[in-house]
Amino acid sequence: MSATEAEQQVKLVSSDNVEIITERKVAERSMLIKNMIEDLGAPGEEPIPIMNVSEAVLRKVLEWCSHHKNDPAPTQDDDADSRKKTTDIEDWDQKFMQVDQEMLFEIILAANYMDIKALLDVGCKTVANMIKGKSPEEIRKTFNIQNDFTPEEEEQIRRENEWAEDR
Amino acid sequence: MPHLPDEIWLQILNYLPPLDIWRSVHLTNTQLASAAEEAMLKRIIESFTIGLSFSLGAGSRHRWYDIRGTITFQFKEINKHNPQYVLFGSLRVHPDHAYSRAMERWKRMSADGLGGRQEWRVQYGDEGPLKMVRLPKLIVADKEGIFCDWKELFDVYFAEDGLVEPGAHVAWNSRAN
Repeated sequence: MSATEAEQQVKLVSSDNVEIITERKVAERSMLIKNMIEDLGAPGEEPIPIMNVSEAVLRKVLEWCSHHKNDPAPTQDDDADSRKKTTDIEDWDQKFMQVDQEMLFEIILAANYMDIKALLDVGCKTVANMIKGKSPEEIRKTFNIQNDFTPEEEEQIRRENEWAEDR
Repeated sequence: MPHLPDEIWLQILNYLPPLDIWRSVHLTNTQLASAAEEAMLKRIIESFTIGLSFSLGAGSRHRWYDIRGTITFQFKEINKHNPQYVLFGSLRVHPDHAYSRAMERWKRMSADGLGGRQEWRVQYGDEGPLKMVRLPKLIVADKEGIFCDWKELFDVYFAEDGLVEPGAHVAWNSRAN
């Protein structure tokens, strides 16, 4: 991408029909947008619909993209390494992820839909760090998850655990 | 609260140690139980080894110079016909020079039946503690393999007070009795 292309403005439209104008380089952290721009062939002219992402979430995602717009493209080795490190989150990203749980899940879903792998990884690591060391009940409470085990399944889990502890 | 699909939960579980996956996430709700089981079978089980430790000396009487050997099985595959079971094979004997004697013991033990009280040496990778556990559902597959109920394996291995064998890092040793 040339310097002029990178500075070009693109128009995104959120699921609640709000237009957001941003730099092409920022928007192209999303592979979904990058591919759409390549397919449309005339960036800046046609608004790009981001159908599953609301304005508030899209602005948050673009804030992340703007901070990371000059990051090098990840290699396959980076990908393999990132799987091994749970707590390895940059300070800026940690602060960025200090949002309520609903927004955290919305960011993860948006990163997945918009195909922004690095942001998806940061989101997944953040959730993993919140789970670490917690009991099932604490996990349910943290993420507002409904316990949908039947009484029979609960009883079976209790019995299996008792049996395992005895050995 | 938005709902995260299974594939995202699987990605989150990539960043968690197996203890958290099995003892916490697995018991949270049905969606997470299923994701936890998938993660354990796709990524974690392949690092498990199951083994036996026994005296290589002749006879059944223990002596102070008793030499102990180990037979270790590595994860091979999930049983296609009964996916509750996984096959552990690729039998290895330690020390190497005791191979024929160890195989003789193993054949005799498997022919006699292992029984639910048999203690197995189970370890996750190199970093996991070596634990002595009972696996009553374990069955001998053939002379060089065993079938193990993977849920039973994870339940006993990740139980809070599984026994850690003294000197667990030593594969074989001499023991005074």
